[in-house]
Amino acid sequence: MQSLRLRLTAYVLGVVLVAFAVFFLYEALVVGRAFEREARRHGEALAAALAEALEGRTPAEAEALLPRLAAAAGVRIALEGAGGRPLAVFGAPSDEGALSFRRPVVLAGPAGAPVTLVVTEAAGRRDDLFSGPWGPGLLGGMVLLGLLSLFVYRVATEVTRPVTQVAEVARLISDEHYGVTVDVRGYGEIAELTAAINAMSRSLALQMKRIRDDEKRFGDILMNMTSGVVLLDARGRVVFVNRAAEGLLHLAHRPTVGRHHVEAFRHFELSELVERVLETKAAARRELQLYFPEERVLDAHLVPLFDDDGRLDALLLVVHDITDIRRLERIRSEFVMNASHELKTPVTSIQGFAETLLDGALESPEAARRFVEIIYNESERLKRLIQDILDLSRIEQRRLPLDFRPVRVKALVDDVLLTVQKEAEKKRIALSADVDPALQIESDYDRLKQIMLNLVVNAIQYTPEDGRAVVRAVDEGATVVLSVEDNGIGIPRRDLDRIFERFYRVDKARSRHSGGTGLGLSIVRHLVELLGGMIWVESTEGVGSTFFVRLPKVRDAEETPPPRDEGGGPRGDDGRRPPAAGGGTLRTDPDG
Amino acid sequence: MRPRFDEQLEALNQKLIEMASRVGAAIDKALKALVEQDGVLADTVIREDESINLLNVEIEDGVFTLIALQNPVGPDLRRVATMLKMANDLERIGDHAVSIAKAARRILTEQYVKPLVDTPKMGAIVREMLHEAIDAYIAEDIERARAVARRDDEVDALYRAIVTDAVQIMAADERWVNQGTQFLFVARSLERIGDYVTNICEWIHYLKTGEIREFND
Repeated sequence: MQSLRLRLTAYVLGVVLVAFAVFFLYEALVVGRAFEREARRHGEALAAALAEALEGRTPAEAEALLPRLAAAAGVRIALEGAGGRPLAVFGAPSDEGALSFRRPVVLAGPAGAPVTLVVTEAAGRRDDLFSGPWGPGLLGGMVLLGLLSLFVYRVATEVTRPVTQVAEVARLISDEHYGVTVDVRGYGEIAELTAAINAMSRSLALQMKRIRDDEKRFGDILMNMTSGVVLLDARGRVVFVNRAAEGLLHLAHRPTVGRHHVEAFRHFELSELVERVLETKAAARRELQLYFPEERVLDAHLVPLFDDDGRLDALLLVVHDITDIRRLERIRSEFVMNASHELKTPVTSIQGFAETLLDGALESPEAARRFVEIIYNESERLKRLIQDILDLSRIEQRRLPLDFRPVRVKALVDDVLLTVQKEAEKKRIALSADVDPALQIESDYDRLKQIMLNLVVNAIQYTPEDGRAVVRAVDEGATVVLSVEDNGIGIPRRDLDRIFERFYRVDKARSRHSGGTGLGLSIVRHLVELLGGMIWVESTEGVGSTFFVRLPKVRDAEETPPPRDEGGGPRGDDGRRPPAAGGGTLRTDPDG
Repeated sequence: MRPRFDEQLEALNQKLIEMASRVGAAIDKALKALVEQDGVLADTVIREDESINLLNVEIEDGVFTLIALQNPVGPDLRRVATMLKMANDLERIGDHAVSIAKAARRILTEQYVKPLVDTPKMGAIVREMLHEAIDAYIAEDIERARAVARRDDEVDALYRAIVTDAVQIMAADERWVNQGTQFLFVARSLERIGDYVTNICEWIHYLKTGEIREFND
């Protein structure tokens, strides 16, 4: 590509040269010819006048007259005889290219012979008409042309510089260097062009920034949303994985982007789902069970994405963790199962004895009385069970109004011990309390009594006759730890984790026989949490158990325990190990 | 010719990895079935073994077709050979997962003599080894493969502990003989799975170097 600058210069010089050529041609053809015509007329006239003057003169007279005339007119005058024989020549010697004009003249004299007068005008005369000779004129023209070239080149450079810059900027822009601008120094259209380019560059930079910002924002949203998102291309290769997906599908520690889904996911059910959607091009959903490295239930949605031509472009995989939901569902159904089972036992018993009565036992007053007593006891238990279930669900749903006021711990413990005194005496179990009479906490008296009563009743129940149970209260400053210690049968180590679960029984036969509902400790734990405290147990089989309840002395109004999913299933080390006193939160619970 | 070979190789490779993920899931399910005494899950493992065997056949078929039609040499031949051997090892691992599931089914209703500790631990190690081995295969990383193979010692140690334990329990009370035997079977299967994973690691070594070497001696 030729430079515009050179072309412009060449054009201008070309035009100038053509102008010169036309000028010289005109000069040569038109002006030159006019001069010639003039010279010819002049010569004709001169020749005619001379011929007139010479007519009838003697040769001597002619010879005297002609040199003067030749000198005066600046021409050469010659006389020729017959046959072109030169007779006499006057004036400057002949010149090539000169114009000659001939006239026949008859001279007087002896000869009387006719001669020819030849007037010759020198060609040189024509040159004299021009002020400047050819040589210097051309030279001047050349110099002029040179100067003109320089000037034209400068102008051309001036004109094309902004264009060059614009071109440079345009190239930078196409190389994605947005926001580059040109210095506006041109005039007119050039200035408009640079201004337009600058505006375009700035607007592109702005749009690009907006696009990038948007991209980044969407990227951040995708990356940080709690749903797992994976994008696959139409061949099933992974294009994008967000953080949640890395966690849920365990993709963090291996390369995934660019890999085929089979290799990336390493989960054949998920890969089957991907293959199916690639084939059918219809959205699909599936629950995935993950076992390794940990158990998880995922809800996977796979959606095909199409381009404008309706071709499959990509697959969008969205996964949610539904492990907790599934676990809660299981716990719930287990609870219903357990509750139904617990309810069925007394009902079966009542039904059985009622049948026996109907079958004839009514006739024997003694048997009838015993059976009715059993029926009464069983219905009592049924009532308690239903009451406990209702209590538990009320506590769980936090529909239990709490009445916080200062409680003297000593008074409460005495109240509890008095309530169970008769029962303890029956088994000759020594009850004692080791509580500072001045100790006060802010709590709900009735709920706290319910807690302590439950624990003390348990202590009596699981302690053989002639045992003992001690209730203590230790002031820890901000908290109080109440404990109920017995020297009973204790709890096997493996059951420690689970005794606060609903319907969990260490020894199914015995505790049911004792009339417990299997809900007592579960209710206790919920109540303790409701009061902002925590509960745990230490126990050695055959030596005894101690239940601890740590409660805040002053109620923290801000702090309401978070709702929890009830532990019917296996749950961590719930309520077993207390956190160090004074460290961390007070109401603590391992997962609260 | 060449692109076609690569394509077929890639397809086979994906089958192999799918097979590995199925086998891994089979071990997971078998162990869960055993620990939670879940008969339905045990049946699933037994049923799903069919697809593992089918994949093995497909891979064998594909490898033989490739060898016959494309005459691979050098690294290409090593790769298809490795796939063939790995598929066989994976298939055997799948069979052992089925054995574990069957053992779990036999003691479905029995109260376990004590909480399972060593067996799940052994299962977890073996499972991790398989996962790591496949990672090493994908990355073609000999060092990782070697590290996986080293863990087989842990598996063997646990195997010996379980055997001793089971024998003691069975000797103490003959009521536990059935259960003890089943747990011996399970431990044996897990130990064999460990060996097969070690084999896979050796094949990764072969794939990269062309040398067949025993990682465990």
